[in-house]
Amino acid sequence: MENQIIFFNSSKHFKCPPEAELRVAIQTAFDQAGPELFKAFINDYKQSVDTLKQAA
Amino acid sequence: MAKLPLFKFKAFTTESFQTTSVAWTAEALAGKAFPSDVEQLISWAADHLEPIVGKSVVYGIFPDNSKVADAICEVVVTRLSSRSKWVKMLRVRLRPKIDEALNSVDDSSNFAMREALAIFMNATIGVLQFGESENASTIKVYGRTRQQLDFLRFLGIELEKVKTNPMKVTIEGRFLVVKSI
Repeated sequence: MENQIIFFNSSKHFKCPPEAELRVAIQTAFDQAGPELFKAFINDYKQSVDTLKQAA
Repeated sequence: MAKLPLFKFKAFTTESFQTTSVAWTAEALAGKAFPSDVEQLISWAADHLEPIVGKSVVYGIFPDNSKVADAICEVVVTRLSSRSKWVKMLRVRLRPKIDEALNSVDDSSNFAMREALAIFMNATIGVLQFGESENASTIKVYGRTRQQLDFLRFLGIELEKVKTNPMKVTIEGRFLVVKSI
């Protein structure tokens, strides 16, 4: 019987980029989206806890 | 232009949760939020201070050298298998005085906008760093509404441009899904 190598479908661990690069990315996302969309985004977090239970 | 404080994403201690609870409640009673909403949030958060896999846990976004959090960030860690673990950021709640200023029509809203962005930035970076420390395979950011998902799409496009430790970012259902390439 031939030797077989079985590859498991392993998930790679997340490796976080440097903080400085993430800050630039998030600031640029804000600049592109605009303050009103960002404000709506933050305000929407005030809504229903029930929906969050499903998301968890 | 007023200078923003530096923020830190960190777990609550008994003391910092107590001081946060007192400050947020006082601000709500002063008319900066609905007291019942804040009471409900604080009461819920008090039961979610300890990390338990599969359950929500709250982290604070603290201005440097402060024991009062300017935001409460809800995170959940889900282990799907020995090789697959998700860290999900479900919401970021601003303290009442910042939330009120953000939604005001006077000049305070501009500063509050910068504050809110700095808080969200630190929450997001905090969750990504937390994901790495937890050996998570996937980081997810929840967007409940269409507008939240619209903003997360902008965020995803920019996150994919990061050069060091590059990431693949997709929208799956109501989540922005972030993985290392």
